[in-house]
Amino acid sequence: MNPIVELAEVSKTFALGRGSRRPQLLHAVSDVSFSIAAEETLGLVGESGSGKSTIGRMLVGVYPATSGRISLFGRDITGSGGKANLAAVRRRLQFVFQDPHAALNPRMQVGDAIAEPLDIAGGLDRRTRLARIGDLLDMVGLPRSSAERYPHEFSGGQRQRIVIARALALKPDFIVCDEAVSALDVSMQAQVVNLLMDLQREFGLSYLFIAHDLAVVRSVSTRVAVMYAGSLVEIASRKALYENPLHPYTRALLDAVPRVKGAAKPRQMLQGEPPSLIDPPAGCRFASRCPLAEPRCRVETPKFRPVGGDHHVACHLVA
Amino acid sequence: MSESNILEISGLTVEFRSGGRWITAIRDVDLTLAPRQCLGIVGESGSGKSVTALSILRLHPAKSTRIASGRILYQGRDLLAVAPGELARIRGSEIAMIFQDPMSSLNPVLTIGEQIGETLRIHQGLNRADALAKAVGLLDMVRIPDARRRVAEYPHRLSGGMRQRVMIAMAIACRPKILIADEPTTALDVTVQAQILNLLRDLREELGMSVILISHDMGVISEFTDKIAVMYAGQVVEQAVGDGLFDAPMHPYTSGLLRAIPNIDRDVDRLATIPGSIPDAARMVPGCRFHPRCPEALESCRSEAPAMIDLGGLRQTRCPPRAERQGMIGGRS
Amino acid sequence: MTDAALDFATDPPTWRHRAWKMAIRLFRHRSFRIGFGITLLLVVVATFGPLLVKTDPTAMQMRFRFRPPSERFLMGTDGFGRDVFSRFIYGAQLSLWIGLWVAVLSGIAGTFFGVLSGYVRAIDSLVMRVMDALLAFPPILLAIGVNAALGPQVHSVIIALSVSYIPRTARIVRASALVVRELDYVQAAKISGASGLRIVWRHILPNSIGPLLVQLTFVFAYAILAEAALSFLGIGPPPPTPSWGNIIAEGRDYAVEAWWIMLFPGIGISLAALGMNLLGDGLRDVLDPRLKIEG
Repeated sequence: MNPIVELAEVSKTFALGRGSRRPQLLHAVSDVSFSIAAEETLGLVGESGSGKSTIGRMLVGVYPATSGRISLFGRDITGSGGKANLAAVRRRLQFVFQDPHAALNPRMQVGDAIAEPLDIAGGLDRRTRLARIGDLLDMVGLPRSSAERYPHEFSGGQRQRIVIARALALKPDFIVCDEAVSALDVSMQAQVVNLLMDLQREFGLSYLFIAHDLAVVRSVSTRVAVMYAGSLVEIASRKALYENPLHPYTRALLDAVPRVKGAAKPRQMLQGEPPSLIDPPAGCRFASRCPLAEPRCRVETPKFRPVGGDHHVACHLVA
Repeated sequence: MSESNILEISGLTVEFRSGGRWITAIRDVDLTLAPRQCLGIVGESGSGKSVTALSILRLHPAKSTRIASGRILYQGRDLLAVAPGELARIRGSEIAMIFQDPMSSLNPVLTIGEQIGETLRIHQGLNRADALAKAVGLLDMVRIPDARRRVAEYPHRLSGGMRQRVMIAMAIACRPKILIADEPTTALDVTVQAQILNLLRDLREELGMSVILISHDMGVISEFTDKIAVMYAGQVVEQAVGDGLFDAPMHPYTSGLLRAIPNIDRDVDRLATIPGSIPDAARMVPGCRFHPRCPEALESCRSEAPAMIDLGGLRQTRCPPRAERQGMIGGRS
Repeated sequence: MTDAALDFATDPPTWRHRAWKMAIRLFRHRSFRIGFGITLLLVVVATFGPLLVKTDPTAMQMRFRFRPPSERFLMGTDGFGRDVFSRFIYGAQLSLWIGLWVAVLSGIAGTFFGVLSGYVRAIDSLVMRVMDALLAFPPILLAIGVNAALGPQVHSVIIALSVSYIPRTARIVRASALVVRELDYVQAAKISGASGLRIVWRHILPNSIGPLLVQLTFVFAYAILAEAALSFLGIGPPPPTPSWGNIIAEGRDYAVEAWWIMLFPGIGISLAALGMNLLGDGLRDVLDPRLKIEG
């Protein structure tokens, strides 16, 4: 099957302190390659500063990639002609934000907020537009009368439904969900996760589901990718990643999650914190915290390579 | 019974002022904490778990909050009745608190050594040099590497995990008897969270503190605490010691919450949900506060506000139908 | 309300519906009602007063100099024996006119420059340095320059004052724009391909309007007072023409002996500022859906 999203050796650096005498480069994402197939959910996990949000934003054109190639629906949005190609596929891309409070303009009625992508695309008469708003509200399980109310009248979970309705307005094929349920309480989180999965089945959507919560990612994803300090360390099917994690970081990450009735289990704890991305260390970026690190890990950058089936990992020590 | 508890909260009701009216934030909260015990308070936003914690040290904005009724006995003294000067002494030196966001609790223009030192100078009357020396010792205790150098750093130079360690160092500076931790690891990454929870567990042993841990995360609560209170819409709805709460929840809200949590150790294709949302504190539902979302609600749940029911074995529930079904009623409290 | 809401469910709301609903909400707001009342009263006085008051505001009657308020001279007379009441009524028009235009012009220009520098980061430092230079430039000197170029008339005063209030307004709008442009809803609009103009119009302006309105009510009051200072220096409409500002300026020397000369135009300016302020507060609240009053 043809992938709808393809990243090949994508890197992103940000210049910090521009205008000062010594601007510093922050290497947010380094040499990341993966793809997403139609109707698939790729979970992207990592801790803060791992570069997962930067990837999400590059995929919808908020940031251009510094190097590498990003293709969406077979069109290259990087390099020359990238802008035109992005414009051509823009309608098929959407984004759901983490904070449902910041994602809605407080001075815009919910109906207008939902219709914003329609209004930008243009060409709808008032009556059709209103009917479409009603349909979108139905899809996310909110009453049609919500259209005339303002965002502050809704709870966090309801607002996230509004944000999802707005994302669905132009019938996209691919949605980036950036920590889309992280700000919600457990009971609301389950409702929104189920809604996203129902919508996926109904409209054949693909998701890039970015989250730090590994349990939520397990419940929504087809495949899962793990990032550490700007690099991709492992990618595998959901089952393989959670039941047979190969990279030492993935193992430590899964191990660190507190579990209900899990207190008795001894755990190997990671010491220290991720390295600075301004001057990332040579070799494997996880080496400084890795319990298994060998001398070569600090020198030689491990290749991201297949280890059977669609399981890929970047570690020297994995056979 | 009161002899064995270091802290006893009974019948605590706290109200907030909103738009000219007083709205009940928490109602009739009863909690006890034994020496060296760790009490976990778990609940979603708006459940009143933080309000309960802040009430212990009366850290609410005084103008917009009032304690309508209740007692908070600390070593036999009612904290709601002590003089402000005495309360200020207890705060920090006998009962300390740490919060979710360490950055907003630290002053950006003072070094961390100066800030830890300040606590020591206020509560223990140390001079500047002694306070700084002791601050280095405290940073060692919270396992900040290279403490001697770090003591001169400003908060913005530290990572979130390091800042939370600094907050913990300040909190334990005077060897408090109780440490209240309000979502201490919510803003942190999971590997750092594990470090901080481990640190808290070790310090609790070393210093013989009692801890009240407030969290929305059932996993954190389960791994860290000995006794758990589940709060919903301003009330404690269930209490248990040990894993009983997870094996056989005695309140439908606890059951729903446990089912709705995604499981990291198992593939689940569809999450269970609790329908509806938390009721608005300004328009509280009559009867049991959970009844509109409860799959087991009976006619009586709509009208009668249930009292806490003692089930024996230190278990309590605010769900009479479940208690009856289990045939476990030991007598209403 | 309920009926209207049902209506909308079948029929899309039109501009007229929305404007009507907005007007209803405005008049439910107490400060807006009071501010509107005060402003309306002053406008009526300024517009129709001169038609009813027959006394010539510039006629000097030397035998009636410094008369305190009485039945004949409601607000007393000044050092030239001119009727202060008549000057107050005739002056209202000029003062309100200047205040209004300065608020409107500096509001528009300040918003334009504020949004420009807050949203288009590339030219931010350039625009803001120009604004700083303008702020540092003495307004009196600017006024003298404009006055010399255009001659002593109302336009010169309006232009000089408007220009000197632009930087402050621009700073306020820029500050809001800088915050709003980073918010997720602006990102969402960009991801959907919104143009810069749309983002400014639908997102940045509506969310900057609160502080802007408050600032403009201050500008309105300041402009009326500043006109007096300029008038004192011989800039703007020449002395016999009454304005609240120059009545006060002329009465300043006799503040103790003939307090009535300054008092009444002073009250006029305070009232106008108060009216505008309440009007602005009401408008700000009603435009902010989060502060919607129940019922």
